[in-house]
Amino acid sequence: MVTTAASGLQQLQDRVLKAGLCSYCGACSGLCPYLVPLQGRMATPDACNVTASTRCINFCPRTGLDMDEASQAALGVAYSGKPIGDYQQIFIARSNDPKVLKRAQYGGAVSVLTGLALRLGVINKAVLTRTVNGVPRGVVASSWEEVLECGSSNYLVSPTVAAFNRIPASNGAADARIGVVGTPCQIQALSKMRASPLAGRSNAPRLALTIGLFCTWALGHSFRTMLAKVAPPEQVKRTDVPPPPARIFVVQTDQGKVELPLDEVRQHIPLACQLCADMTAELADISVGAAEGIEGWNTLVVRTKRGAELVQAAFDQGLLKRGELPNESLEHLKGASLGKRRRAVTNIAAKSGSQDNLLYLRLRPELTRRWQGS
Amino acid sequence: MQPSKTFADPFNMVVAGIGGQGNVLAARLLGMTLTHLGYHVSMGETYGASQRGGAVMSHVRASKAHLHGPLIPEGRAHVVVSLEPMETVRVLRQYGNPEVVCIVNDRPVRPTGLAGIGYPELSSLHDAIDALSRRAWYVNATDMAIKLGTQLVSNVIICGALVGTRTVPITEKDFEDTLQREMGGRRRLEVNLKAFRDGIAAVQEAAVR
Amino acid sequence: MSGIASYPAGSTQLLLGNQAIARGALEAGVQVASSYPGTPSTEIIETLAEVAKERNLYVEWSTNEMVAIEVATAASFAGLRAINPLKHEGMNVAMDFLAHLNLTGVKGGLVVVVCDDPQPWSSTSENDSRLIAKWLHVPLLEPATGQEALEMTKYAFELSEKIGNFVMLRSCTRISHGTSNVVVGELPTTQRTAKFEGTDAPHGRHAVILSMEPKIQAMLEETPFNQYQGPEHPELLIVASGTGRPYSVEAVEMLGLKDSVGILHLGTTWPMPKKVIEKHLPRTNRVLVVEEVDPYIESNLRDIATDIGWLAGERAVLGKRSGHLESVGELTPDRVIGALVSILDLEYQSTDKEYRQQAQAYAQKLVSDRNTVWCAGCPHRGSLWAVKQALKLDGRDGFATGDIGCYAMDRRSGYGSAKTGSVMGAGIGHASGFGRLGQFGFKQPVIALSGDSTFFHAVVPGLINAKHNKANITLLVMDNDATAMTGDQPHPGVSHDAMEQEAYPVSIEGICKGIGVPVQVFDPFDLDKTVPALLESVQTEGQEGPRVIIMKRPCVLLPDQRNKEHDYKVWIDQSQCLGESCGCGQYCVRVFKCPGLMWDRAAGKAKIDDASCYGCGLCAQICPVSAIKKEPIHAAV
Repeated sequence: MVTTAASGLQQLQDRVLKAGLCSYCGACSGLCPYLVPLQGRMATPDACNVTASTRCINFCPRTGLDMDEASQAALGVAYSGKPIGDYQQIFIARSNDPKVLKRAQYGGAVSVLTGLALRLGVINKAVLTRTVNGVPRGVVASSWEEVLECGSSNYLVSPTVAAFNRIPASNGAADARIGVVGTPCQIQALSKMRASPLAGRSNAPRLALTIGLFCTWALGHSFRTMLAKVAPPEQVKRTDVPPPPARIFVVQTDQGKVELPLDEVRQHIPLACQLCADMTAELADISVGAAEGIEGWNTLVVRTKRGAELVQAAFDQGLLKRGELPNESLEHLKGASLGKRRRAVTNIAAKSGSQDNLLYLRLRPELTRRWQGS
Repeated sequence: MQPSKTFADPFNMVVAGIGGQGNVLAARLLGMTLTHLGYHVSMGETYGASQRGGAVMSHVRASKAHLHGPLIPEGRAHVVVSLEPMETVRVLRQYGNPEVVCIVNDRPVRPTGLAGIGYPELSSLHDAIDALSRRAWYVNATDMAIKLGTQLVSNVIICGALVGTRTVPITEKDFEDTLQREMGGRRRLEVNLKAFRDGIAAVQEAAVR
Repeated sequence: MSGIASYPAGSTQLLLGNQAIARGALEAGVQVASSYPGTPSTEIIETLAEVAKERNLYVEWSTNEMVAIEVATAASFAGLRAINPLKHEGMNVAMDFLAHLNLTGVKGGLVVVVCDDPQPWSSTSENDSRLIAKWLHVPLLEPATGQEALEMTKYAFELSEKIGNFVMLRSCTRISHGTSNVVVGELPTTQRTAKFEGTDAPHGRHAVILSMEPKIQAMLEETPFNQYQGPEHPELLIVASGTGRPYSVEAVEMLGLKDSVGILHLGTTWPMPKKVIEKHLPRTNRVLVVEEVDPYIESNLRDIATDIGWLAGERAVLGKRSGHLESVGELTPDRVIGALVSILDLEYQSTDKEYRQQAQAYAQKLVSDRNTVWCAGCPHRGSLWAVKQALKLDGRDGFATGDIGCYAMDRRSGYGSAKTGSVMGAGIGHASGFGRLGQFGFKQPVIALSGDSTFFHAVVPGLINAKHNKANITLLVMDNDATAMTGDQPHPGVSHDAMEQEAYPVSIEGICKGIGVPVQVFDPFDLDKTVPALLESVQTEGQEGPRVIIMKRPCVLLPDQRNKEHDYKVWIDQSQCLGESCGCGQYCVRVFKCPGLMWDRAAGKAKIDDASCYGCGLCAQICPVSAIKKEPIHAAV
């Protein structure tokens, strides 16, 4: 019998890459020579001929993301659809180490927690995002020094999950305990990978910790050209988006501070990001973001037992200082999260041409209605 | 041992193989021998792609009457000498007939790329060659040549096999004389003479079995 | 004495057509030979180069065909006999000069041998060069056998000196690459001294050469090269040239038509031997013209037949124009048999029908195409792999403009980056043009491909054009130390010449730098460096002109490369090989495609074919799970 089914790669190209759904999370990549993340898009140098059990389409969150299955795999419960997802605790925190604070984007909590997880042996490899010459990519860190190298963001989409995939399954990786720090789309990808029937042919069984990063949007690599006009990539120390009403994008360079108009910067947000309904990385063990209006602090959302244990250890060892999240800030966070969901389902429906067709996003009907109605 | 039978005139041989296997040289040695025996010899070679894995075919034609053109008309080969099994079938499709005899190097050379995966079973090739010829002899000349220390002489082994079958108007001595004349260097001559004799022995053993 | 110079006069030799031509030239006292390699003409120069020293010849592989004919002409201007063999495509390169040389005229005998390649076996085009002789008003000879190739070459030199113009000898693949018995003649014992005394200016000479044509025609009519054999009044007269003659003789014999079909062999086909035709046409009412490629004789014969009033009523000239033979593809005995069977309404089976059907059925099931491919160890595999990777990673539909050389195989059996490929130098010319289409919305990156010999032949002017006009492109020069496709002849970049004497190696890098083009040089097997370098080059924005990347590694067929020990022991750890499953999909045998790699069907894994592997280790770099292992054979002890 002749199988005429398209290869997995061909299906991924048709359903995701050419359809403009790819968020460049990297989940399909690092597994084969056929998908190479480059400059903000997945390059496909050759045609693949594998049609059966192909990991790319099975791991990509944009070929279909059943939120209940993903939540079950990541958090052990069906997806609740609460405004910022399920969580056990929420508070603000910051590092006690001035060295960390100097390098970190906000309160340094992510660096501290990752470093501690490595030191405690909760994990022995941490997949992080590091920006070199203006290009972010996934790296594997196993020491505190390496973690510190990855302390800030330039808002560009990054194929970080590819680095997770590339950790060799052989050579003693059976005892690997991998932690991943990623954006919501990357955490969604890892959750789908955990739920997949092909999970055994991935590093998902060795995933021991996920730290999600709040994300309202990210920028495509066309932004690099805009940024390069302001400063050469190697001179950019850090970028930041101050809270409204400031409508600016701040670039810190060796020479000082440059401000770019936020509206122009936002032109570089990929379509795929506009279809994302998750702002707070709802499927991570711990989600971390800026504590809006409280400079130098992070908001921490602790969602799982292992997340809670790690955070507790950080407090016990005096690595993090804890503060209360003002109720007003919590309400604001929820509002922002709901706003992203609402925009996402509107954008998806506009793209699919139907209120009932949410493309990749599979929600229980009552959630769909609630998100569309809210 | 003079071949006693009479041979067709013109006598048509196809020497087939893959670029780089040395079939052009084999054809040339056979042509030289026939020239020396007083035949009018003409040969046609297709070798634009000879060194790059393509199918290569030489036509060797000998006549006592007059010089013929460089190409054998379709269906008119008397002997097919092939350095590769699949190539034998390719040649038989165009030049074969029920009376043709084949001397085949039994070592496959797979086409590269996807086609390489689909190389047929050797036994199916044997079935085809046997069905399409009056008689076929199979010799693993490549392995025999490697035993002699150089793959390069597989073509001369096949020439030995051909002469050993007594299906050509060439005796052992005729061909050995050609080797004596053409193979410069004592070592080169020796290995080629050995290859030639091994080829003869290989078909004679096969015939006994 | 060696090679063709060693044959005693009167002896019978088994010679390649091209060797027969070379021997003919030698017997005619040729002193200078120049050409650019091109199948099927190459062996003429190679054969002469082999005896250059002992015969005191000057034999040259020139930079390109136009330079070659100009070099040969200089010898002729100085009173020497010279030969200039070309393939049909090379003839086109030489045309600019030849279309003036016919007016200038020559002094020493000058013979231009053009080897057409019907089918084509080793060319990108299938041309009939005979029309050039008619256009330029120069004599044209067409040998039918090796013997005739020798005789006609000798005669061509004499004729050339008699008429003071060059003579064209038209061969084709089956003549040049056919081998047959040839009786050789005497070699001269003296040589001429070179002295130049000026030439006629070409302008205003058109009338002169036209007035020569009837005189040339009369001379050719007297030659022994046009002969009739057959009955006094045949039912059908075959007019045949070149390979058409032996094929016709055989077809007539096979079909038992000796008493009813006559054959007029034409060996001199421009100017057409009118008197010969006038003499033989009246024998019959029907003529079949058998010739390679175009209906050239057929059309000219119709003109003559009409002029003399023969072609009227029932009488007919048959051939390609009548559909009995084809203009496409080479002539074969079977095509001639087919034409005779159809014209004379005969029955013919090449072999019995049942056998044929059975053979077709077996072949269909068992025989697959063999694409020509780069040899195992070929540097082009690394170069073109990097080109493919860079263009695909870039992802803007970039492409390569191809050129002529082994790398042209990229288009059909390589990685498919090359989307054009016609004549030497066209790659850079196209690229230069594409590189200026930005103002019309053109965004695709372009890499022009070139070999080393090709670079000297025709790429330099295109590169200068691209630089001057600031075309945003990349030129990839694959320098493998040889004109590889035609059999590793030397070119201006190597340190020996056609006669194996020391020559000055002209630097490709130096030329590029002189033009002001940035140059990088890499080993094509260093994919870690070449892919990023090519990617960076194709992503260069702006209109600052071309970048050149040179890939340097010798052709594996060069004698010292062929005989050297392998660099690596290469093997596959099948326990790691992913085979057909996700993560690989037979990447090495299906995508990378080296003849050294094969598929182990029983194991469902890849395997090294030890009989083919060259031990270059390139494949070890592309295996996604590093299952292809390599170990240096000369490991540090």
